[in-house]
Amino acid sequence: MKRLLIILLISLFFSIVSPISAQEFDYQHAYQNYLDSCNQYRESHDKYVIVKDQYLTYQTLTSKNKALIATREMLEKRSQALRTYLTALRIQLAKATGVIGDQINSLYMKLDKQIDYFVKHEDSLTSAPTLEKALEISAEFENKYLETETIIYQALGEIIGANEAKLYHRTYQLISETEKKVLEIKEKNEKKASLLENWLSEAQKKLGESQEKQHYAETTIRNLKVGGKTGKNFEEAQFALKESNQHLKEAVFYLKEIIQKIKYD
Amino acid sequence: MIKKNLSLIFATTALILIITEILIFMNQNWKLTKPNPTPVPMPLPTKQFIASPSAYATDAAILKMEKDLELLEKDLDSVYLNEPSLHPPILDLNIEY
Repeated sequence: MKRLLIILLISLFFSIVSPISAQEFDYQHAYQNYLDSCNQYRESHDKYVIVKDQYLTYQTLTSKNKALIATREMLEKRSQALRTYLTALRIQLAKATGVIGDQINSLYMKLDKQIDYFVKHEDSLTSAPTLEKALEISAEFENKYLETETIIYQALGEIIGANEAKLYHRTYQLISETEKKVLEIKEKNEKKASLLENWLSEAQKKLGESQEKQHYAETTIRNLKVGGKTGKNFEEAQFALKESNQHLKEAVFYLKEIIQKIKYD
Repeated sequence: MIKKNLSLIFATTALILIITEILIFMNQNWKLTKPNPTPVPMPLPTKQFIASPSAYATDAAILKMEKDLELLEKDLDSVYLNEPSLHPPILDLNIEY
């Protein structure tokens, strides 16, 4: 009976703790994989540059074969760096967004398809028999990257948008709680409550301004198109979210002043 | 004799004028180089604000809100909006021979 109780308590503990820590662990692990892949890619790229120069200088069959091996390895590492990045991004997206809506679900599917594509791409590189064939496969990757980049910016946009939205909701909640308190004060001290209501409306105005900026960022991110100015548009959305954050800071600053006014006559 | 006296008076007047000019010039120069006194900030006369606590000063809900606001303020400062670590990797996308 005692043993059963201990097992029950342990499983209860893990059922509460593990979903969060497992997700964090997965992300740290995935992110470390990505960093390792990037380092391997950089090393193989340096090697590729040297071997390429040797081949272009000597133009021998031996140097061409060495160039094929170095190029193939670098292309594989390039794909792995991107693939491990996409995996880390996918986990970060899950961490930030929490509840999965249609938009996020579609983004997951897009990321998964991209990851699958790069696995196949790496397989095809392994069997590339000639330098020409390896370069042909590399060109496919480079064309595909336009699509990948758009998905990356969409995911990044959703992550930072979700982070900002969480802060917005916390501010909104605190404003609502303050409103209730002001209503309570109104019954005893109408004059003070009237002043507090005016101050609250200032805080609500800031909250509204923050929401407007968030909507703008959301629309910009969701309208990112392959071949468009994705990087520039993402930066625009990012800037709008920073402005939204500034408005929230101002709302919080006002709320703190309101609380002080409530606490002291 | 008169001529001699006149020239003496003229010379004395000229000397007095020169000395006066020198004195005026020195005085002006001294005024220019004299350092201005450094302004010392004086504390503004302030009325000491003594706020008396209201009935809500120890209200549990208000104290919780105050604490939540502090936490929110910190999170607003540290929120990830442009973490460079998650930006796309820099890849060579122009592989050719």
